[in-house]
Amino acid sequence: MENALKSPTGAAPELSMEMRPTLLEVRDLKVEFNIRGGVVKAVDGLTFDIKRGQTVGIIGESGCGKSVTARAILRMIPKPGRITGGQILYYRYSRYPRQGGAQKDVEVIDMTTLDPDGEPIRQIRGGEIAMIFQEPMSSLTPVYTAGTHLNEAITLHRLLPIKKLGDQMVEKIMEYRRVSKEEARQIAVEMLRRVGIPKPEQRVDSYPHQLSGGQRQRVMIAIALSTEPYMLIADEPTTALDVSIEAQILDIMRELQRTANMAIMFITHNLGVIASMADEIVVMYMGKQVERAKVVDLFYSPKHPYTQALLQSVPRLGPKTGSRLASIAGMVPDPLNLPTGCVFHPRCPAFMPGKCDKLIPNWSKVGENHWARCLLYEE
Amino acid sequence: MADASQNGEKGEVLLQVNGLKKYFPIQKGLLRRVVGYVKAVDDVSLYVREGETLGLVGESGCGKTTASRSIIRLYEPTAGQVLFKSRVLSPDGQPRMVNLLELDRAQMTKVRQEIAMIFQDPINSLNPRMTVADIIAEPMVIHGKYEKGRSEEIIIDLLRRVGLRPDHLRRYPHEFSGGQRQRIGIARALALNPRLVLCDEPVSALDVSIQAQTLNLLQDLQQEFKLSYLFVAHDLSVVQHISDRVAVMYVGKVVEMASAEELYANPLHPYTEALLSAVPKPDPLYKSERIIMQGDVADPANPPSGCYFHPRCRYAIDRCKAEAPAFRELKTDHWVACHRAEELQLKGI
Repeated sequence: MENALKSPTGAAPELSMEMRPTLLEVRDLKVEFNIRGGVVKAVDGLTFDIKRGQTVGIIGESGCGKSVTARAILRMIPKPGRITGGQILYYRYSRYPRQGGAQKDVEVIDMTTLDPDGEPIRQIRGGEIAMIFQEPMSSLTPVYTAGTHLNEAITLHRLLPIKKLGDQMVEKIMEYRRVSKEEARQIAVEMLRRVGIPKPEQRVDSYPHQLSGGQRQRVMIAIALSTEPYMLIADEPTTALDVSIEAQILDIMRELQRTANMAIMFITHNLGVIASMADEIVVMYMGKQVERAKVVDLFYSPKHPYTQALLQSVPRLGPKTGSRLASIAGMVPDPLNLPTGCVFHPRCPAFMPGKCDKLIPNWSKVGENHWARCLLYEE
Repeated sequence: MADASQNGEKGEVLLQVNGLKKYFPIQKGLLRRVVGYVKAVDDVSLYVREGETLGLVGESGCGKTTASRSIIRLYEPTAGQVLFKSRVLSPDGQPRMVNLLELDRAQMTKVRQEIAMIFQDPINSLNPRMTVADIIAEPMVIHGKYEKGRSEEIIIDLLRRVGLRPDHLRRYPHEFSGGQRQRIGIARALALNPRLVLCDEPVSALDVSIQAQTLNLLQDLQQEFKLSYLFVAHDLSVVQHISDRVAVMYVGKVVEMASAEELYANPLHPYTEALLSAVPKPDPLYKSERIIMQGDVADPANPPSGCYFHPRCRYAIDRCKAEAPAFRELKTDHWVACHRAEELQLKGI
């Protein structure tokens, strides 16, 4: 079964999420920024895992540590930030497996121990775990064409088989070589076609300013996917786009995920988008993970008061229910001066005086595959 | 908020825009010859009644912002008519319709007391070198209404109304969060007691929880000060929430306008239908039949023939390619520009 995981041709067999092999495990991750005013705990004790072919959504308001988490996984945290604790275990499947012995090809790498400039992480970053950034405007270099951007990723990370030895009865051995310039261009055009850019043969030579916002974001996706990654980190990929373009992009992502069995870590603050994309959701507030659940459980029986409030504060389409939105009182606290106890207590509608402001809640199980960090669910 | 219109007592028309056009010239060559025009706003007609909110939605680049800025003549419109029921310009204080495009500079400055604006970007729309007190006082100073003492009281009162504290007065914009800055912008807009507020994407830069607070604040202020809003936004859920009526724009034209309930439940234009279906719903079990519009928004410098939407429209017929549809009132208060509006059965929400 394992060798079907990364079959570039066929679709993955339908496996239930629990049965799929783990791809990435984040254990108690802590990221701190030591700035002049003090220490900001941007990520404080984050634990989740992503299975192959699964989509995990990370939601929360700006400044809650979503993007820092994504960058921590790829070891791209800007200074003065650093990982101060925890593990990021990446189950590395051999890129081009010799078929038959797939299980042996899994290697567990703790990403937190890698040198952020070293060769191992540079192979993973972009090649095996790709990332799409929020701003399609500023994440492409204005002086290079779309094709040049794509070529860079393809020539760095894509290999092509040169010969096949043996057959399926015996062990299949393949050897690989880097792609040539012409092949890279062909792949680039093909990728642009797959993400739905019209006339890709011409568009491949366009500069970013000649493309619309939606097209730029599609080029970004094409770059990220051109290396056939195992996992895609999408950091607010559609936030800057219109709903019609957003729907197109999300469709492309779903389609590519289905055919390539790619895992997606989807970071957003748009609850509508996440509801249609994710299998599992992690809710973050001020660097802390406050709830984790399957998407249906999270939307239909949210446990943490913050999640509940967040879900109620979005205006929904459909028949009008009330004229006012339920809003969360107050503001996001100063990260340098976090409240004591539970960080959400000053804004929490279920605030229990003497308890929430003194005790730090534990990460506790509140249901099947459903976890929350709230004193309401502790004895 | 929506009650006034439901009870049948519709307010009088406060702002009526007829055939508004704004073309930006495209210049080329050494002599800066005009080689064409970007038709950013191309024949927009709409109206806002007193005390109501008209939502103006559309994709980016469709001309929503240009339309709202042309109304207050921040951009000089190319053609059209903007009728506004003004108090300050009538000699007896009785509100009277004036065409804003015919006013001279002094009159226009005067009428701007009655039309305020809230901008999208709460960071760039506040001068970083002015304190909150100065920012809110500036409209009063410009219009010669600033009096020491009394105006300061008004400013403190406004700050309280928008949910800020009086001790914020001497602070600078950078000391505030995005939501608080937007509140400062709202307080500034209300400083001269306007009757119409043009809100240009006031909540799109804010987080969900802050967005809800700001929308609630705008609704409260509307009731308290009897304001009318022209609410420009691209988020259809937000627009439905806050608006009494909604106008949908596509490539410089208003393609549909109706009451919020009517428009969302029974859209008459295929573009509205497609937009509504594309909105992601915060419900994982919702199985929607997404209508994926092919291609991108048409280029306003070089729009398609006939109906601008026909290359992306799944109902398009030959007539749509040849002939531009007129904007007409198909049902009471439900306007649409589509040749096939009568025969199509479109799905709302």
